Amino acid sequence: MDLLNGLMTVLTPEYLGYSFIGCLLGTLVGVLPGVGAASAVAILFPFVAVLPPAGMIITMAAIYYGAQYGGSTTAILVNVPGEVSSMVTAIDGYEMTKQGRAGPALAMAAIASFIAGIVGAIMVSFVGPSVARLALLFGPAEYLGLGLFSLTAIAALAGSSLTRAILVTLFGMMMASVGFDDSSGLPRLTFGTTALLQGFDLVPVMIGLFGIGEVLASLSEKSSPVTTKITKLMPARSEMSAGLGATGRATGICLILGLLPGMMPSIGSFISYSVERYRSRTPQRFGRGAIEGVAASEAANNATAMANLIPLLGLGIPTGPTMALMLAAFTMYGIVPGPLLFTQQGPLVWALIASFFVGNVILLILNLPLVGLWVRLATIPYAILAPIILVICLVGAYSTRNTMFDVWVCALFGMLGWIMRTRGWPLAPLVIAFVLGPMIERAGRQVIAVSPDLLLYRPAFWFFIALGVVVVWLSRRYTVRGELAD
Amino acid sequence: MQDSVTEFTSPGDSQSTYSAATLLSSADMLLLFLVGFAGIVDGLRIILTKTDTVGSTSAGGWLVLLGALLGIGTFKLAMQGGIQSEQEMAKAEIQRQLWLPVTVLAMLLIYIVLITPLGYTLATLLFMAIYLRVFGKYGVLKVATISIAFALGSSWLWAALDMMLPQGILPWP
Repeated sequence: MDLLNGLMTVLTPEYLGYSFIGCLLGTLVGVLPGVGAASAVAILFPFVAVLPPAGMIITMAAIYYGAQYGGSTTAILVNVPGEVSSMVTAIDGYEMTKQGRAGPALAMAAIASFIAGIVGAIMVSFVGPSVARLALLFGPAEYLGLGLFSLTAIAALAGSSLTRAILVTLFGMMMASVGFDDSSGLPRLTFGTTALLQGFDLVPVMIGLFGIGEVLASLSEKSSPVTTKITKLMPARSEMSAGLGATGRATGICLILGLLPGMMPSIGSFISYSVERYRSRTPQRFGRGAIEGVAASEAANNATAMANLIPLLGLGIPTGPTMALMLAAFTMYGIVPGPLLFTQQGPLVWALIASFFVGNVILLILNLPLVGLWVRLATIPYAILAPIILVICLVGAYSTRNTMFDVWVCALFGMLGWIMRTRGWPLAPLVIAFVLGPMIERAGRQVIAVSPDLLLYRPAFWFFIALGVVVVWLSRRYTVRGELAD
Repeated sequence: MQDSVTEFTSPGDSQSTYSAATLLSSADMLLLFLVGFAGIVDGLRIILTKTDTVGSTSAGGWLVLLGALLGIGTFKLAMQGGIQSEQEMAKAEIQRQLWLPVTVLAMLLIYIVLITPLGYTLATLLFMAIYLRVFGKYGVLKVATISIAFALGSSWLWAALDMMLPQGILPWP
């Protein structure tokens, strides 16, 4: 019933317009080489902040999955993935383009994304409220355990070096401590500077890390010009059948894995691709234009992204950088994701969930006919795009609090993001630690204020700690690497 | 997959790039140590000097904890010798055009400095023009067209979105 009401809300011209604009903007920005989904959301976030609360949140969500599809388009056509998750799509997608099968690759990507998105939205609508009800039982000890588990999981899944990821996590928590302490009102890490009293805002930090940082990192990469013409769009029947099978499997795997903090779409893509290659009778086709590779990767992207929303909406825990921005969007309007969200902001939440259904339909309708336009956009020289993106990033950072301090913060974190990328340091743990650090600190201080013995009587705390240990062990055992071994 | 641009090929360049990689690796560790140290120092300052403020111990203690963990972790990483082998780091550095992002970053910082005195429109026009001319190597007419169009168009758009950017010396928007 709630979902039905949400659908009725979203199907009004106003909200349809928000979804459409979000999908269009997201795909437009995502198609640009060097700009991934997280970057697109970070860059566009300040500009959609002018919309009313429901409109902004719906538009942001639409930007996110629109940008994911846009990134896949450049991955398939010009072998320039917009982000890590699109790297997997590029492996077989670009091979298909070289074989003159760009149309079927793009179509399969769109269809796989659509199916995974719809199934994911159904799961969010059923599981989200249950998770929220469970979280009503949580106290400081549980939130402390959940926060520590989240950070541990993200660090474990962030890359091959756990030590580096943990250091980045600690660094992120340190950055989040700059400014006034909420409990005592004391300034921390300001060193007598007035400017630092306001602390670092998440939006300029994100825009810097993922916008400017990515542009700087992309400057030294050259893209192949698009020389292929897209003629036939739809895959052959056998290809469609194989692709749909891969879509189903990837969706099932990633809807469950996506509930874990740190399980970002990129990791889901790698895992699903590996599963498809492992179970295939002809694994030698993978890496040479296997449509299952494209389908699995794209379905995994969307399924993981949808599943990521459940911890965000139900527990208030972002599982990745983009979810962290969604959390910031909610917080801007005083909407607190977590256990009370479904009760206090029910119409808004159900409108958001309903918008996923509508948004995925819009994406499917929008992207297949407009693929020629996206191809043209992808060929805009980076020498023209880069300064435009940089300027938009800085304007976005300024508009957060109308202060040049945020512009400098954005530039500083942009430099940091570039250095981290080139030096092999993971970025996601920094952002999540920046968001979760204050929550963990608050929960920890509450536990200490009551009594540290409290932890002994809260089994949920130990459950989360044990889960964190398991995730670390599993991640070390089955290291998810950036490059797939042949 | 996408090939990275290989720019340096002479042995002399490899040697200097290897040294640069080692230096950068040390800079990583140094930065982390400094941040950790700053956390410990500031945390202790709060604990020891703000005894009359409720919550000061936990406020400072959190920083001390983070700083200590950061310091220990960085030391552990340094003892491990970093993660990439020195050969891998040198190779990674060889394969990147460092001068390009560093130059763009420098231009960006100058652009930020100029936004307040000149205003968004003028500063953006200059930034775009110089970037397109230097890195895009476009002709004067194309540079002028794109720069002016973007500077004016974006100024109008931000004003329409009620974003009050620094106006500087121009009376518009």
